[in-house]
Amino acid sequence: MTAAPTNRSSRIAALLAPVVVVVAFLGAWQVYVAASGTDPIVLPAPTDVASALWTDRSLLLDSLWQTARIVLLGIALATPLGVAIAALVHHSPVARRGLEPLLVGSQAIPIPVLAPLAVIWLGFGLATQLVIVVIVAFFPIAVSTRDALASLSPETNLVLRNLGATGLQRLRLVELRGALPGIITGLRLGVVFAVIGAVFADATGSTATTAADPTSTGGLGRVIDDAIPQLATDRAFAAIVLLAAFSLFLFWSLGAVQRLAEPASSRPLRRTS
Amino acid sequence: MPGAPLLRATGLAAGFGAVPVLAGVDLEVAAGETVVIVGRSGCGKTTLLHLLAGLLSPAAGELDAEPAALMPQRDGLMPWASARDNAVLPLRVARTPRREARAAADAQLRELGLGDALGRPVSLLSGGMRQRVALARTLLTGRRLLLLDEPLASVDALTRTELHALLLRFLAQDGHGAVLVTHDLDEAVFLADRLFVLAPANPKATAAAGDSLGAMRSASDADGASAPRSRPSTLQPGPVLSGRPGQHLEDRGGRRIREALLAQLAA
Repeated sequence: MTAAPTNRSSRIAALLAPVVVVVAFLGAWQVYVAASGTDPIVLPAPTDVASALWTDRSLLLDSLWQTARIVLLGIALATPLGVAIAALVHHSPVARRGLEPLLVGSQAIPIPVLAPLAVIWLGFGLATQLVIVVIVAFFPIAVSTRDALASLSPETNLVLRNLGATGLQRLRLVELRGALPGIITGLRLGVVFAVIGAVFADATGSTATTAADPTSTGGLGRVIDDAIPQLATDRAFAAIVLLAAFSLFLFWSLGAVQRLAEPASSRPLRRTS
Repeated sequence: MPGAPLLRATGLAAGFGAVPVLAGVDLEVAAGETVVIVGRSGCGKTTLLHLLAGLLSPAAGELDAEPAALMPQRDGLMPWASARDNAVLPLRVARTPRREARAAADAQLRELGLGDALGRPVSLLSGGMRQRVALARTLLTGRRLLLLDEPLASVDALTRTELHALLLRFLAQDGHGAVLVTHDLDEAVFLADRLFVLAPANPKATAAAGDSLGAMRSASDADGASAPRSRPSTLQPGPVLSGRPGQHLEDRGGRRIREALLAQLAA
């Protein structure tokens, strides 16, 4: 078979491509910093960032955990909220017309404005952080779920109507499962937004968190906030690297789950022998 | 022998907005018989079945029918689910206990020759197998009146021949009565106890079809619309078939039937 080597080499190429791009990017960055003599306070070299990652590993890992906790809790709340809103809007044209301005309007508020407002309303702490993350993360989930619900086969809808299925039965027996790939697409976007939200939320909520629990470091947002006035730019970059890695991990993991949720016929064929 | 009527429609009319689609449709279907309706594409066959299934409200006329099971034109199966999970849908909607529902679905699928494919995703099944799953789902509604919308339009000729025999076996059993619409004359003759033709009514017949169409026409005239509108279709009895279902065209009247049908369709 001539297809097999091509297959294998294209798979290796697919795996190597991101590595090559990242290595090339880091190499160019390193060369630029060395050649231009840029002050590491302005732009630390990748090796400086790597060194900060190692030196401050305890602080950074603890902060990553704080941020990850907020992101995961926020997503855990935003997902059912987004799916429920999508289901409501899908089944009720009145709800759709009624909720749309509010939903879209909620997304027009910039997070840097939303974060201090949330503190004024709810004070410092976990609740405030979660509200910020949920508000930014539920929207892509709701939009993507609604589109997926609307694109289910009209014939399946006919069958369900003919069977006299209730709205809840339609959702439970058919629609939610059919919309699953779309829900996960929304989640993949939602987690990326959630990480951004969590960074802003760290800056608001963590003051109280660190006051209540002196061993807590706040999240990565707080690390960045603290590092910049201390001119520890390398530590700020190290925190950003961890944030990016965390987003990427969630994005890719959900992509793998999504492939499992798609009908078998749309997955690439595997060689059986 | 045909028994009590499962469906009686008198003077049914339907339309989309001001555009009339069907007018003056009379039809009666008894338990144990298969009525086949032949019509060209776009003549309103699907609309008629949706009307008979209660998915559309008639603009005029009366419909007295048992709850019907509709098998839509494209199978409407859930591509992510197995043959079993698709077939079991009517029982899940009817809140049949899970284990009982699953056993019933498995038994029905086995009867339709899908014993080896119970747990296989339908997206991996052939067109003919998918139609069998859709038929199993239709039969598992437990409803006696079956409405089949061109069930074999999307399968190849060989598979279609196989499925004709299967349909013949299941449509008439257990006191079922069926209305099947198709544009395939051979299929119609092979499966039908009685044949009907759905075709645009000639103006004289339309006038005789009663007030329904007249009412729709005058309503649209009142809107000031003056564009010519297509004529609505109506149901006419087709030629009387000799022999029994399960026999091919040549044994059920041959050329006489084909020519009569073509003449009615062309009218």
